[in-house]
Amino acid sequence: MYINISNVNKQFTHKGKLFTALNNVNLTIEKGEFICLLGPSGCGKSTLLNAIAGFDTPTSGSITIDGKEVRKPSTRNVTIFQNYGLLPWRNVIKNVELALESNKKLSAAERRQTAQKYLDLVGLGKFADSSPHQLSGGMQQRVAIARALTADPDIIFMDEPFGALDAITRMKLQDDILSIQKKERKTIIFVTHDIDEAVYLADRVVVMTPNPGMVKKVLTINLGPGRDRTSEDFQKIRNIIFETFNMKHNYPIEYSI
Amino acid sequence: MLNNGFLRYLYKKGISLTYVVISFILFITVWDLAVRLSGVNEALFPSPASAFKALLEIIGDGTLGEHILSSMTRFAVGFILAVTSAIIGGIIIGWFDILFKFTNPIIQLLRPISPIAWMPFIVLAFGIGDMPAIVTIFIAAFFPVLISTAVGVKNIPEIYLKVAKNFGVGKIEIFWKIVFPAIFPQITAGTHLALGSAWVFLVCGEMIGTQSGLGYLIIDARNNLRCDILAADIVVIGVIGLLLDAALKYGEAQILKKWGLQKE
Repeated sequence: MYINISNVNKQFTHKGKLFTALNNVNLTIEKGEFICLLGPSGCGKSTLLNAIAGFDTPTSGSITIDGKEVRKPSTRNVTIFQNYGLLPWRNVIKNVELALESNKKLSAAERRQTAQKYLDLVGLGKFADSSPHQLSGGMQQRVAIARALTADPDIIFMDEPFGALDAITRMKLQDDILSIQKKERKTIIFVTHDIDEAVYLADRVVVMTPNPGMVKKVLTINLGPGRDRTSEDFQKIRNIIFETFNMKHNYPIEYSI
Repeated sequence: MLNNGFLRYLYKKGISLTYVVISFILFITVWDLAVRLSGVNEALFPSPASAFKALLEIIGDGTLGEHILSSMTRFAVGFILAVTSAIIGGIIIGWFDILFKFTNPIIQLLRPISPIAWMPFIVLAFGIGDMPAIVTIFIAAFFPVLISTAVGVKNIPEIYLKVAKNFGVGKIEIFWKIVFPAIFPQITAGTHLALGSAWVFLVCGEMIGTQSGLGYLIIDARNNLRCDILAADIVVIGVIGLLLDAALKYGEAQILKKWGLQKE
């Protein structure tokens, strides 16, 4: 058990009303797993991700990584955002180098070398001197991926990373992230609202539902690598997830006020 | 003084130099006609030709050069001091929300007061000489930069700060690595705004207690009943203002380009 989430609750007060973003979430994640947090907006998947990443603390419950309580963001765990989070005043290679600047032991040349290596890995070696805004959305997200890998993190958090990209680019990047994970053996926690994306990528899909945000079901996807989106097994799992969401309508919805 | 706003408008619309030249010719023609048709004594209402002659005269004897030099020195000192302190102040009050809440009402109260209104106090506090002009420029330039910087800091996209935290950017480091570059476009816009008003107030500031500068030259020309020099001086003030504005606009465009925030 590498990441342990136990009895996590998160509540906000919004305009005087108490809002439960996470209701008693329990989850354990093993090292090297690819986990997708799947659910509609408002189900608390991003809140959960932010809590594991240390950007936000839960109201109650505990989150530990490698036995240590999460209190603040760590350079050991890198988050990739939907809007890439590249710094527009830095060129591409300088953006990637940011990942190494907190390590004062490295020389500028070593930084540059490592950054270039990962930029080559995501296929953007030629664009080292470009400005982020000169690149397409998909390329910008690759720069962000290169930056994350440069930090050599244990865990990569991805918050709807491909949400702003067109369908074709998204599928390409999904393949890229799978092959990167194979090569680099990172633990990846990936937030998405796209059922196909979750089934295509994940070792386990954590299905979440809103009002209040909670884990409805955890599905292990035994499809192995090289998944075929059109295969029968793929469709079967999709259907299970669809049912999980549809079932919600058959039960009275619980409101917490 | 020439109307900077109009020229900026022309620039934006991409109207070519031809139009600028024609517009200047038109302006000079109207000026000349007004002199001829009004029948006012040339000594009181100089024609473009006599203003041009006066311009050559003050260029020739070196007085214009000296006045421009001392004006520009004061302007540079006042403006650089104002911009530097406004950026530092703006970052501090923008970063600490509580400071912004306390200082913003005072800033909004002080901002609309013309720097000239302070003049008697300025003279009492700093005496006459270079200081009144420098302080006037300082006041004129300070507030636009302060406010645009503070607002820029308050509106920094959260994602930059998250990324900085994630990659372990230090608490002090974050100011020059993230905050300052993130708000640089706003700072430039504020500086551009400040430049225009500071240049306007330089002339006023130099009308009191100085013995040099383009503002002093106005008072001096009036005292000597040299309206032709007065007119030449006014044109010079306009042209320098225009050049300063164009230089900053160019700088601003370069920065926006680099940041990928190109204006439409």
